[in-house]
Amino acid sequence: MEKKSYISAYQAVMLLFVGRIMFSSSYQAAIQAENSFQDLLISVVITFILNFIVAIPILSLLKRYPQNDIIEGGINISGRGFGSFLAILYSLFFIFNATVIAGNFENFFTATIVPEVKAYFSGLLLIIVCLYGAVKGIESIARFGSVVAVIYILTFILIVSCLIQRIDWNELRPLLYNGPGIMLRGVIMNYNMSIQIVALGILMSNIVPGKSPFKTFAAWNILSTVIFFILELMIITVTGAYGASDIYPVRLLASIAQISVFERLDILDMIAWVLNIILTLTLYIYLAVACLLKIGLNKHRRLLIFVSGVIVLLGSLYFSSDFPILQSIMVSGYYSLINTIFIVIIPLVLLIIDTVKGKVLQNANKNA
Amino acid sequence: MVISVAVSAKSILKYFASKFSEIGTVKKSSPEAGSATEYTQLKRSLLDNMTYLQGEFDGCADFVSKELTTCNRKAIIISIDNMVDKLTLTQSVLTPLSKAEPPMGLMTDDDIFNWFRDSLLSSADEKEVFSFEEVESHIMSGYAVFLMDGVNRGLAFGLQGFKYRSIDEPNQETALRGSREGFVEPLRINMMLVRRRIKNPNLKFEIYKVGNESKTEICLTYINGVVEEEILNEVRHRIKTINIDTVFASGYIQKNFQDCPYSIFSTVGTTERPDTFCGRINEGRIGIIVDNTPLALTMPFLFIDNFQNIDDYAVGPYYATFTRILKYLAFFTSILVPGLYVAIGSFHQAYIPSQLLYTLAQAEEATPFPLVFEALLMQIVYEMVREAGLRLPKQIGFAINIVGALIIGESAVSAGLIGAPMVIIVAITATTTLIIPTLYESGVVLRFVFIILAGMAGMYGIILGIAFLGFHLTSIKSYEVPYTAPISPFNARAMRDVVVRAPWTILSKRKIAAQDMPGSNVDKTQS
Repeated sequence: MEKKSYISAYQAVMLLFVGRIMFSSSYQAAIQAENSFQDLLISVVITFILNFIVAIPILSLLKRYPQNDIIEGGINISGRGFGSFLAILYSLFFIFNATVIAGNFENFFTATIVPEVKAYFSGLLLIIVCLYGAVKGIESIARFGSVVAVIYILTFILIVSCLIQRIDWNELRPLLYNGPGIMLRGVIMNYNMSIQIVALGILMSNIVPGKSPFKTFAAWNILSTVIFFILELMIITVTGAYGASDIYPVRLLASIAQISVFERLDILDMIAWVLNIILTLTLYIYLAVACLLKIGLNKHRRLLIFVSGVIVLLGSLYFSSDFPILQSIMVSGYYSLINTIFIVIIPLVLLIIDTVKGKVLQNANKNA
Repeated sequence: MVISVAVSAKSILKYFASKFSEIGTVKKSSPEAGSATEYTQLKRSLLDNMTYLQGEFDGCADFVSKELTTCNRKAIIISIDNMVDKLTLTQSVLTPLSKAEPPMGLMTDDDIFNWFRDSLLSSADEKEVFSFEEVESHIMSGYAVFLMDGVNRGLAFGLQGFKYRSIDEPNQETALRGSREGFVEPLRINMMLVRRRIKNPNLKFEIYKVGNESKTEICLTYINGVVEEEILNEVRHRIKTINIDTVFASGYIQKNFQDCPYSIFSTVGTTERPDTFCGRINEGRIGIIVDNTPLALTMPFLFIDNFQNIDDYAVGPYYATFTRILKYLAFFTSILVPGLYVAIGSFHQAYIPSQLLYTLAQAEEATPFPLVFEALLMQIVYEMVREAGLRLPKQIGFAINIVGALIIGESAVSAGLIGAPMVIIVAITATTTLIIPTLYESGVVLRFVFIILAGMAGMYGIILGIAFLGFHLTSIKSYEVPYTAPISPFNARAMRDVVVRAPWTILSKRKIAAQDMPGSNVDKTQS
């Protein structure tokens, strides 16, 4: 019998951290913060607390059914039919997010990095690598994720170190100077980027037994928030209002950083960011397929991975041609609602059903 | 008269009973590890035995036999020419046999034979053989076999005298402060080299025969109590499933032990050094020594093992750490630098510092070919010159190297075919590739792949290649041990001997076996 693949809690935290921090640079221009850019710092802190709150249903479900993920918990609680429906829903959720990420990347790539290369070609190469990673399995993804996370953190430390002398604290204007609007939009944006909570919910069955879901989640939330907070602070104090309107402010930061004869370090940022993209896409494609495997489609694993990859590629090509749509998704209240359904409502419903079923069984036993 | 008839009838019956017991009777072979093959028993008649053996070795000009008469019985010594030390054979076997006078009371052929075995003939390596297959196997391993008329057994004397290469320093794995001994071709000599270094009865040697035609001996080596039983059983199973006609080198059977046969990275280590071999089996790994080849195999084999060298443990920790870091840098330089140069030079010139940019632009200005073509061309030419230098005799090979350097270095640049920076890149690549010989083949393939990816999509192509390589490396397992352990999955304690070589006060505290690496899926059993 094939041995089940397990990853450590540390690897899971690194993997999810990579997915979260990958979002850090792309969508802030859509907020149109301008002179209220500093309010995003409050958004980061609020999102940190909000993540703990919205994760309660998922974490409670995972605690109630150790070593089971949301899908398996759903099957245990509500039966195979509803469990299958949940599996398909979550699978589509991950595919959609993967499509948005891939579309954003292709747009960035063809607009900024290598304009000579066509979007479909860059997308095709990207998807091929991601499919290869997904086929290799969660152990390979997690191990590579640990390495990528370290690369990112080292790059981050280098860039921040180079920019410390360029910090202008005058750019940090009074908080909430223009009201709470930008702060709230920032909260929505950060909340929309925190879909790793759902990823943790699916990954839990692959984490080594005995690890606390809450501690794993807390470690991820703290690490991501600290890094993201520092990044936001650097963007605000170094680039000011210009950074608020730039589509890729972290890349802008890196292009300003200088060390020795190297006049710009955005190539390092690009390496780290593209690796983050590849890893996150691979993870989402893997999770999308993993959801479907739990309802008995094990024999079609590679076919499902291939089909998921094709859908992501085609969808991303569609999205990449219309960048404002991509931008608006991440700050959209509708997207927040979708996320809330998957992060909060579905696990909450399952918990309620489980609690009611438990009480009914208890009463039946008492009567018996 | 009645009594004589009865005695005659009894002897006749006894004779036919002994003959009947020989017909179709098979006897189990002398115990070899894991085998219980059945063979054809020797006959009591020397004539019958020799008829069979001469039939088997018909046409073998090196099959020699010496007939003699000893104690009024016909006997014969058979061997393969030039495999037996004739002087020792004469002194230890032939001379005593020719002068033999059996003690009083020994009447039967079996009694005489037993007296020969236990008292008369002396050899430190003496075995009794019972079957034709054993006789054939022993004489082809350099034994001389003694057969006597009337006895259905023989004596095999280990008097090997064949010539073999003397123990010398290996060509590929030289060490500054380590031993100068390397494995040689004979299996038993190599076993001796290992035993001398681990004077512990827990060091076990199991001999197997592989190759349907060649019947080559291989030796499975491990340390009992350190090795993991699951891995050991898996290796034994794989040995038994080897189905090949001939085994002339360890490389013939190496693929049977590979976990990822299609990967460019090997999950089976090779070494010519007994000290390296012993170091690895001391970490719970398993070694295989193949007869007639000086290259031994070890498994499991991890990525970090490519960067570890016996000299690392003979020098101080600071210098050892420095050389380790140098090796890692060298590997990634050799596979990435040409591609990076192509990518940055072709697509991302803005990333080059201004002063350097002017210099590079000037150098490449007059060249007719794109950077990717230059890089590919130079790498191919370098590999051709290298291969030519390896295959040719030393004197001509030396000249080829000089010509190659002139062609690549001087003439091509002067003619404006390639830029000088590309020559420097090739030179750096050539030097750094040779620092890790075990990763040479992988490095060459990866270098070409990265050059092509860089030519297609610049830095993005290289990053994609790095991602693909990362997924591939992290997916490989060597006997259920992750290939990239302990880098990923990370283990701080095991990292003491990866990039950094910790002092011996730390290294000697607790041994970390291969199967103890993080992420290992080996089922730990009670040894």
